[in-house]
Amino acid sequence: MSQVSKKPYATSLEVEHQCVVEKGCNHGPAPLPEEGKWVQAKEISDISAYTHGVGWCAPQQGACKLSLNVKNGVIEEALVETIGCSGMTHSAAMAAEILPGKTILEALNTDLVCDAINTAMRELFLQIVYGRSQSAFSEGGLVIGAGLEDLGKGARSMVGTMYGTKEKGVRYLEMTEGYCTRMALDENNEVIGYEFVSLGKMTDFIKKGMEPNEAYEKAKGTYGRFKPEDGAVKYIDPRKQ
Amino acid sequence: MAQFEGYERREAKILATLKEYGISSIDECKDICAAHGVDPYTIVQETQPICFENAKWAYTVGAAIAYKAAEKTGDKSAATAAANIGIGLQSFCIPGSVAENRKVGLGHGNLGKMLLSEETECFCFLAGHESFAAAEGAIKIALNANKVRKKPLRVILNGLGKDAAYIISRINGFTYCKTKFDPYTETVRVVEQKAFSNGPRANVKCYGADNVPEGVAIMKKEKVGVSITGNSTNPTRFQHPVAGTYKKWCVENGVKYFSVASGGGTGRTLHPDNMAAGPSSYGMTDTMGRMHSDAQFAGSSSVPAHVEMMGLIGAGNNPMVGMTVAVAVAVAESFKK
Repeated sequence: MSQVSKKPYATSLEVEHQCVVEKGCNHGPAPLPEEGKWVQAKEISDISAYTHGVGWCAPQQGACKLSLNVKNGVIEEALVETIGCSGMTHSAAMAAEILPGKTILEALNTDLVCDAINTAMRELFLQIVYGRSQSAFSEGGLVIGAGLEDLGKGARSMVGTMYGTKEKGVRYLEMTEGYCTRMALDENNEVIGYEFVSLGKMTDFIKKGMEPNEAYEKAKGTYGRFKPEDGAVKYIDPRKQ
Repeated sequence: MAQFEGYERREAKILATLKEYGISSIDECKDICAAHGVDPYTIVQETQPICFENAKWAYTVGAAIAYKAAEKTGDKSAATAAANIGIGLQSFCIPGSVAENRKVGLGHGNLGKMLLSEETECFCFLAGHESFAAAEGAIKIALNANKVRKKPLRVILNGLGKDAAYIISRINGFTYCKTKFDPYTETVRVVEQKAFSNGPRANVKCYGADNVPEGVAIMKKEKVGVSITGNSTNPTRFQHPVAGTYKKWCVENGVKYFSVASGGGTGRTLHPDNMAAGPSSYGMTDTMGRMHSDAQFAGSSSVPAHVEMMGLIGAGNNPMVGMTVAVAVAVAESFKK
């Protein structure tokens, strides 16, 4: 029952016969804080920010943290971090190539091959179009490279791997600082510190020509009360003991 | 030569500040400190091993400014050194960033100054107890502040969760204070204390609260004069409500209390209120901080990269409190040699 009129869209006869009730308000959307400016975002190209999204797959066996640096709607930098599934590391390899250069709207409709990464992209989209970002109040936004900075020295992801049982207690396997080599226990056999080797630093030393054993020792560090004078009575290898 | 993250975005401002003190390069700052036998670079690295290079240089610059200022004015106190270190930190703030806007560098300097002044009796890390980072700051304060104070500064950690408080105490050698809260009288009493070391670290008391009212009661019991909130998981359900409620009580009862709002949610739109829906502004964490704080920082209490993102330097805000105190004390002590 539509008819062609001078308006860009066809209207039904019922609507055509209605009288006009004026719309009084027209404030536009609430402005988003973006890179130090307040922007009334109407188009995808109005979106600029550095932010994160976290996603998971249907069986929840793996998770992805996605960080994008978006300028004028286009992904300029992508950091894809995954945990818990070997396959998704390959999906991440592809996603890190596929995502840069796309608009964030395009990125939604691109199969990123892995549930967790797709979900992270969805969550990141919501965050960014609603103005939730790391760079909301940083003038000019964050430089391309902020994603790498996020990883810190040695450019490795911050991963925590801890394990515990009722019978045998807790084991620290991987901390921010690196691979946990030993845990220190006090006289009650409670954890009071740990020793780690920074895999990023160690590898960098070896690449520069240092002997592996020397590099291993040099990349080691401790946290908490690790020395005997700090109360350490026993040391255990968290993977073997 | 000095090389650090974001060098090119920071250089002009740092050099402009240094010029005011008659220093011509960042490397010269290192020489000035070395001439006094002080190594801020290493002090900073010891405080938070995962901090960025720019943090180590920022404190080197701050210490050099402190020396030059002391030469000029003759004021060689640690408290003044702390404030002057803040000028160095401020010069590292990236133009236009949240950190620069809020003068976070100067704020850190002034916080250090307060902790080294005799008027402040108790400093509290109002923590979420999610990480050990508050401890990193507390350790440095505990080991250094009392070298220059007549009356020792009491340092406490007050956070959510008794189990976490116990583990944090154990890992760091603090004294765990187990408390029992009476919800009818809103008072708290210590039922057990366990020191996890014999040294100055054991002077740091670590409390775990079950909820906000217990947290407030701990603040009252310890007569906290200055606090810094922190961390990302618990700010809206613990740190800011405790600071705000205690602040109100202090105002009503004529008690002096300086509250610093810090932690992951400050300066951002993100965090616990975040449903990624509806109009955006500063997030709830930042907003709550604005309601009670005397000074507001930006970025995480622990994660270097997140503080760097706010334009300051790559070091957690809590460890930074310890860095400021430790470097200021080292500067003041070097005058005595």
